[in-house]
Amino acid sequence: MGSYGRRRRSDEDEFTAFYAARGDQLRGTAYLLCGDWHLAEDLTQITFIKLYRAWARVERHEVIDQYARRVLLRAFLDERRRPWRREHSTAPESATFERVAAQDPDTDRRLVLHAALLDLPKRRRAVLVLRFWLDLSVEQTAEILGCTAGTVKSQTSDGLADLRRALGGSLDVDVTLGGRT
Amino acid sequence: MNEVKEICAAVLNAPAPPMREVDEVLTAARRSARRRTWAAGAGTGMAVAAAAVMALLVPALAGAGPAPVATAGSPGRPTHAPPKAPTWRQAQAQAPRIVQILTAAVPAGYTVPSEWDVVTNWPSSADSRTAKPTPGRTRPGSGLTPARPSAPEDAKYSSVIPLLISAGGRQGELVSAFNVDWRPAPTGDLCSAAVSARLSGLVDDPAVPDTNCQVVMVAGVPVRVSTEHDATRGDVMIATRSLDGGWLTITAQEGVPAYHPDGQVQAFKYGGQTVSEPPHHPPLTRPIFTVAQIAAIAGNPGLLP
Repeated sequence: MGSYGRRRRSDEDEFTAFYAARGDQLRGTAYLLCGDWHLAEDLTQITFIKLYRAWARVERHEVIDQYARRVLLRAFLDERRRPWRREHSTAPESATFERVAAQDPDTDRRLVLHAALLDLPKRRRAVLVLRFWLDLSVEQTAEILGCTAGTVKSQTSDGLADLRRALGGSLDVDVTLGGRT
Repeated sequence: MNEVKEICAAVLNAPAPPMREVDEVLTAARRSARRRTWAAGAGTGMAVAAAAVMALLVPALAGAGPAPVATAGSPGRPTHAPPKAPTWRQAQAQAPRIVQILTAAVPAGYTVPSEWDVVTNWPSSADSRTAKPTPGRTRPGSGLTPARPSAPEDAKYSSVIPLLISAGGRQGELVSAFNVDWRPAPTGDLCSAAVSARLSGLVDDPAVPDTNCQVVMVAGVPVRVSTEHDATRGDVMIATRSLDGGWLTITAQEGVPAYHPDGQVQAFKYGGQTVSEPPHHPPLTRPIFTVAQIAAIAGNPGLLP
């Protein structure tokens, strides 16, 4: 409260440097989670707005990465915090999906993979992205999601099973649209 | 599980839109931080005047009819159902009228500096990609950002209209905000912990105070008035009226936080234009309104479409 008016210029310099260094990575993580670049942008912005508020209070900036991930994940998981948003996932059989896929095999494959990822329940998707994309430990993942390590392990197992199922029995990145049923 | 990492890498191998410029993010962060200070924070300091029953007329606009009378002392049972919250388009259309009413309500001795008059052309949301200031009229950092043009009519949104209030070289701020979440209006005490928690969720702050809170009746409409104080903003009064689907909040604060207290005015890009933040002024020496006055403003039906 009231500290915003006294924000030091050096804090803002550090903040902008952190955005330059980490913004793209956080946005990519957000995109993996939500599947929409616009929403990913907004989640990233929400994250940096909250980081800005907290910046002067974060004494140990080496923990800022973990803090940023936690804010991003909470923003993603908490519908109330982004009430102006609605997810509109694209069904695999939609005309939009097929129109893009028919033009470019790489795009086709990417959309299949992403659709499979987006088919996962949000928390399972989040666990997989945190653990395997960001290489976080079970404990770090549990801390970000506010759950126990056991929950992370079970969500990981369930998420992997779901993903395999969605990709036709394997986690092969060379899957094609026809192989996903 | 390298396969998952490969899947993620393949997914991210898609053409991505350019990142938002850091200036844009910084502007949004400053704006949000400022908006947060308007509406939240545990207050200490100024005590709310005892709930004396009193009647005050807020200066009325020509054609607006008399402003409602504010009375205090009742826990606040509405005499009729709360009106429906405006859609973001309605809030957008209502903005000039709100500016008129707020400006007219400012007591004698205060001025609203014309160079920083603020008229919102849009409701605000977290989406600032298409923010465009109205040249010469919109103050940068004022919290005005448009909802997406494609936003549905039932989109949840916040629409914020801040006005700088000056007197004797000092400056405070008067802010109107619609926070619309389309949830039903609360049925109980507007100073209850439940309402505080709900307001807290809207403004994204865990500390909207339910202390220093009282309910003032304005022509049958209960208005929650809470007060707080901090070194930057001085005494702050927040009057909140519940709507069917959201809230209308009027905030009056003695001071305006300075982003750069060293006195250096910073220029930055906003909506494609290079603009400078307004010069900072010391805070007003006393609250702009009494509790009853600010409640009467919040209860003024003219603020609603």
